Amino acid sequence: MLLTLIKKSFVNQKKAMAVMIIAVAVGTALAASLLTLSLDISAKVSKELRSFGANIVIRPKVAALAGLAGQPRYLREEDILKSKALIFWRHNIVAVSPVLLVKDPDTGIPVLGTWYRHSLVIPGEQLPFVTGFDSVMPWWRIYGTWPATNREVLVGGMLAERIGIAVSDTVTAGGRQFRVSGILNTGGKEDEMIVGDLQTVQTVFGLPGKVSQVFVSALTTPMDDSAYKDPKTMTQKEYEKWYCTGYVTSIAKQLEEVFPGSFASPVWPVAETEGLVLDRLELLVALLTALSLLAASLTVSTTMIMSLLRRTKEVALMKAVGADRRDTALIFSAEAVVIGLAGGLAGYLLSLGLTDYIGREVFGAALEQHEVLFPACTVLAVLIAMVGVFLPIRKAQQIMPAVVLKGGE
Amino acid sequence: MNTWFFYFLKKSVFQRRGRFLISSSAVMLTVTAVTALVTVSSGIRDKLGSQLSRYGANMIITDTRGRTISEKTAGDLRTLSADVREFSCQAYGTIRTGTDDVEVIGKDLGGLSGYRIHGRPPEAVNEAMAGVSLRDALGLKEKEPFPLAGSKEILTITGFFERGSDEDAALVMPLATAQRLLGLSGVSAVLLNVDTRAIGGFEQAASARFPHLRVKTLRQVAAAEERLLDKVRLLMLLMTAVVSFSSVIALGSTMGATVIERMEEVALMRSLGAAPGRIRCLFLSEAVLAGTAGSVAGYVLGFIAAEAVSKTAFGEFVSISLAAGPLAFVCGILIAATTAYFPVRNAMKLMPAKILRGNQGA
Repeated sequence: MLLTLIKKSFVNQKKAMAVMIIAVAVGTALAASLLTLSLDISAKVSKELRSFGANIVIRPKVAALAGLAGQPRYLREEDILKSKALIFWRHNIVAVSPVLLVKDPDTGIPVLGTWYRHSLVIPGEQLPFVTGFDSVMPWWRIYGTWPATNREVLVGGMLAERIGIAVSDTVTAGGRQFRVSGILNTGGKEDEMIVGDLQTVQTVFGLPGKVSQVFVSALTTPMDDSAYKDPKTMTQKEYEKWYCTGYVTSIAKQLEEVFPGSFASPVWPVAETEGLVLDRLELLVALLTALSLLAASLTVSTTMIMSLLRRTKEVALMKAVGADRRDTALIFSAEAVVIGLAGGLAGYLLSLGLTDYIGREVFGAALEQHEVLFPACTVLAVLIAMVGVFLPIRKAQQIMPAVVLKGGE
Repeated sequence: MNTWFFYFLKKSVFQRRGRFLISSSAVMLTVTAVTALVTVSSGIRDKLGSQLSRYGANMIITDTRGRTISEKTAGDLRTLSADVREFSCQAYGTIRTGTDDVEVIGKDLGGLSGYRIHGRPPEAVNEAMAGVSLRDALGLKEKEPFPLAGSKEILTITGFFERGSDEDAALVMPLATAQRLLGLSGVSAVLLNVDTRAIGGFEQAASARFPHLRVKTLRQVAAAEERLLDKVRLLMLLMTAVVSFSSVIALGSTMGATVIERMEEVALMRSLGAAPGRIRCLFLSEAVLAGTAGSVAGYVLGFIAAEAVSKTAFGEFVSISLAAGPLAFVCGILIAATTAYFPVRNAMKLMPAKILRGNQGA
């Protein structure tokens, strides 16, 4: 008997059910989309903030009391591979750019050797790691082309203007002639330098396998008070926790460990701003999500309430026919569950499309999906449907069949 | 419109207080969410922008002739545009220790950011802090005087800093101290953080007014700022669109359900002889009334929510978006009216007798 009533109520109310399912689906889509966004926004903005430049720099350790005018110190180019192959946080290393800075003894012009779209083969990885200043310093602009051979170099914009050099001209560095393949514009001190491929500069100035500094662009976790502590003053437990969290300081420490004779520092202006911006945005998105979810679930509930309040006549009939309080409650609850499940499923599928679109439009990459949201949102949908049914159920149970059927309320 | 109309309207609202409240609540919730989102979106550029400006300067102005910039000129540059968010001056030079030439940077040390400091930053006029590379190279110790050569000045090291740049091999001190040590009457560079949208205009204005100054945009900062702000704005826009859309749909179904519920009433009115036009008018007026009440409440609530969100996330209040108010108001009413219109029209098409007999939704 009960089942017949439930079945009938679905069949007779096709249109109304459809309306409620749509409302729940839309609400669920919104909830799932916003939650997916909140969970992924940190990672996406973190990646975006990498365009501010390197947040870690590795430099040769300054020998104590060596004085500033001591011998130039270098790091080993071969150690760079370890940053992507060995350290605990290697998957957070987005880009690496080594530089070798030499002052030409003849001309006095600074010469810079670096990587541009350099392919680094990492043992155990199928694809090579392509990196260089184009990844670490995306605001550097080349007018012309990057040197294709070891007989070509770039000239910084300000230097080119000063000595009257253009593309295809010849320039001297380290006692050799080079063809200018392009002009480099960085907005920084590189505009006054001659810039070439790392290997070329190493060969010309007799410094094979050596680099002056290594710039690293890494995805980091925003700093908190515990992260600012001096590692030497941490307890074993604190140290482990710090080491295993992707703070810019702990990643820097791990990089220091694989470069003998180095000290690695976070580039604090970049690291600080990054942390600040991430914290703010995360909070903002979380708050807006909460607000929207609250509004959406309440609106969906009101839809449910409205749809069901008008069926008092039907309930009166049911009661007159013999359904008791428990039965009416069951019937309405069954409806709510079906609506919740159907709407929840539809909503979740809709949210997949929505988050895909938002991810691609804003960040150029799909947002990370969390499968747990599917059951979570469906349960939420059913719960909201039940809440929306609760009031009418209460009212339904209070109805005196005779009064309603005769036309009263 | 006669007294009958207003009587009915009044009865409708008061006797069915529950229904009216539900309809206007639905409108209110929608308007709240949309208002909050629009208000926050409109202010996000400023809020986030001022966060980013703490990164540092995105423009640097020096003298092409290698001289210093006078305090007066620096002041003029600062007031050249209202879009100047951060302003500071720096003095550069070198001083000698026993065997080395050490770089000196004098700057405004209030609100120092981008430094990790061990010890404390210099405050008094004869204090300085040294970069970690300098510390290691010269074996400097905290609270001891810096080994200045050829000067009667005593410079006390108050601490050491790490910045992650070439500055780590320099001495940083208050601007006045540097000026005195280096014998400068003005400043070596003026650093500004200008709203990225106004950078081009500022560059032109500054170059025109002071042709002997070189005005350079630090592309590293400016480009990255712009990119991030664009993305965040786009994100907010999409979020607002998604929330608005879904709220409207949910609202629509609520309003629709409200009307469907009262089809019997409509049928009764018609069988009593009421003109279809009048009935439509009545329902629409009810919807508009609910819409108005909901919109006003929603706008107020939305604004409060936006301020709460802004204060929590950015520590500042966001200014009222004048567009949001009337927009939300009109939208609320329009949606309420539209979503009430169609069910009413459908109800009107049906034969009153059929409805009254109980064949609902036939």
